[in-house]
Amino acid sequence: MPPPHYDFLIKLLLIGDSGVGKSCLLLRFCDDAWTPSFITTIGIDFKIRTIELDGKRIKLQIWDTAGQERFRTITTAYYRGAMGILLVYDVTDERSYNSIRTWHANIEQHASEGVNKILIGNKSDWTDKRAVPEIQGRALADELGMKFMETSAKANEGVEEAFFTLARFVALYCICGVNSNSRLYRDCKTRLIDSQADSAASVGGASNADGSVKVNQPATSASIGCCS
Amino acid sequence: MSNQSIHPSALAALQRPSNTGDRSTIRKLSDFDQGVLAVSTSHDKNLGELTHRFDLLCPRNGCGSVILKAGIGRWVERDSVELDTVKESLHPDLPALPAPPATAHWWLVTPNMMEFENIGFTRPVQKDVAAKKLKFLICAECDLGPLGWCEEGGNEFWLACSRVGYR
Repeated sequence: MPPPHYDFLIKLLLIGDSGVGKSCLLLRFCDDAWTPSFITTIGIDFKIRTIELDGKRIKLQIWDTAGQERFRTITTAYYRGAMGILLVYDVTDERSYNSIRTWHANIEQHASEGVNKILIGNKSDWTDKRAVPEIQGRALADELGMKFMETSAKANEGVEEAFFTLARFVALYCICGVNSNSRLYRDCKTRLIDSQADSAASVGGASNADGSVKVNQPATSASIGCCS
Repeated sequence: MSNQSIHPSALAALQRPSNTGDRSTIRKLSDFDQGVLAVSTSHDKNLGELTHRFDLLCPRNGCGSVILKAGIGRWVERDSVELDTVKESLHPDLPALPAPPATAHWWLVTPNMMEFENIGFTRPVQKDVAAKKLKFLICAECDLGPLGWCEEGGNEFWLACSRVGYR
């Protein structure tokens, strides 16, 4: 059996206030009755997802902020190497919408230039409690120069779509939305040709053959992620 | 960049779950009479080693997220690891592992996490002061777990043979 290969590695971040449903966006069964209590306690660092697109295998490494956002302590290390950022608010919570500007400024300050961003109004199925009209979300996205979409992570309906459509959308945006002559594209390709192991180990954070990427520790090398 | 278009067929391809086959009946290790032997074959490169003949899936019926493609993990019998801290919350699709120092059967994945198709990592946990911090492996699509573990900063990833599905 041939070793599994992949054509792209893409690091994505989920950013936004606590309680907007970021973690839920990572799940297929969000409202499932069974919630693994150990996960609630420990928290999730990141996930790896593999998708196929026009015969290309794409690995997504998706990071949640794991509660750091409560203290507004998202560090440069967390942003390092990120190629796509999903900026999330809750359409039923105006405060989370108002925080988007702050988060956006944070991204501008810490993330690499040219990172792909998308604004997401989550919980769009909660029509009774909606506090932020769709048009308002779209206006902010336009103003900040981002794509926009509303999502609902409601279970059973659209479970197949909720987060993964988004992750995939950003992935596609990273790939298809980037000119094949661009530096990002070339870096992705070059790294993978150079050394698959090297590019794999370096995606997302720590620079050596480090299985677990550490958010809070400054990386010791500049070669992180496909497009760093 | 904002006026770049998304390839339509690509978008459609991405809307599918990782496992597009029948996800309602996922075979567990306990469904095979011969246990690990029934699901393994000799490794391509190293004939002395056993690997899994099947894709490894999330064992949860209805999920079946593809965790690892066939032929990647190496079969290893080694010390069991206490994966479950809260026994009563164990999901029915997750059999209990023997308590250490008894051994358990594992699929060892190396040399890095990009071997996985789909997987989630918890934040690191320290069981006792002397031990290295561990991260638990969970299903990337439904959070079922722990399905296995790795050391923080390690390059070995251990999936419990009894906690994955086979197809």
